[in-house]
Amino acid sequence: MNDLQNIKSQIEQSQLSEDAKKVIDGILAQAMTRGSVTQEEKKKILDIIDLETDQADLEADTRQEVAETLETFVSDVDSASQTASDNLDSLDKQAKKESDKLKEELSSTPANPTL
Amino acid sequence: MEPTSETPRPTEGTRPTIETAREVGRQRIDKFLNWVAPVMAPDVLMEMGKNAAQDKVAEVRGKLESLAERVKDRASEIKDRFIEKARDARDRVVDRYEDIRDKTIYKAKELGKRAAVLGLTPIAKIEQTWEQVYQIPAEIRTWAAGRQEGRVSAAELASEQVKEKHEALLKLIEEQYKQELAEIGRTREIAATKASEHREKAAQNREKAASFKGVRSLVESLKPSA
Repeated sequence: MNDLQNIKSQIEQSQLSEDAKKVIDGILAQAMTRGSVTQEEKKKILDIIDLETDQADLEADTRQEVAETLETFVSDVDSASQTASDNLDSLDKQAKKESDKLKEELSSTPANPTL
Repeated sequence: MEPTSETPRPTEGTRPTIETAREVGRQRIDKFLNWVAPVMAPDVLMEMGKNAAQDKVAEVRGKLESLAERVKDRASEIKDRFIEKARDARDRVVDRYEDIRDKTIYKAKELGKRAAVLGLTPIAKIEQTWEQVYQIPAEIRTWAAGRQEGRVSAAELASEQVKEKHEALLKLIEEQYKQELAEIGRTREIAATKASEHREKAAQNREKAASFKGVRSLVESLKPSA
């Protein structure tokens, strides 16, 4: 009886869903009236806990996969952004180099021959 | 104004954000083009090349024009390539989401069947919950949905019918670029935030699953009546 009371208390404090708690609570109430749990009742409680565990695991697995997908997207965009930034940097340097050369070419050209 | 290496650059050691990269790139190219334009003005060239032969001045002017065109073209190519890569990354997210959703819904249905047998939540409710969890961020959906709408293609641009509207279309394309770059920036931030939220909730669910073990052990230890 004490075992059943203890389990009832643990179930109440657990993170099991309200739905699951309600069903287990009903099973335990009947068991406590009787003074013991049947094999079938025990199996049902275990099945409910296993189901809730599997649901939590499934949500964790899926959220992790979704997070990885989004993180890959962020990483891909950052990488493309870095490449674009590097390419613009090269373009900037190349343009400066070429324009400096043209300036030099113009200013160092000999004057028109004067008569 | 001559382009210099003083143009702001992203902080060293950190990845530039899209906005930073765009801004830095735009500033560099604008700076160069702003410098080239007045230099190419005939009076300025005359002044710079006052001692040079006139044919030399014309030659340099031609080279500067050619350089300015090449810089503009290359800057556009870089921008195009960036947008193309970002779109590819977005499409991969959409495809991956669909795979994850299908796989999860399949598993959730199996769990739903078990739940129904145990008198718990109906299948439909479980599916609905999962659908909400795995929804593609709205920003990615909107961006993906708008990819074909209102876009002006190169073929359209080259067609005879639109040649007279060439300038207007170029402006439209530039505006589309601007919007899409802003969209990429927003989507990147949303994706980073959502990834972090999913990581946190995944960890919470792992803890929850682990916490059920204690209760299960207690139930397991019960001695059933004969």
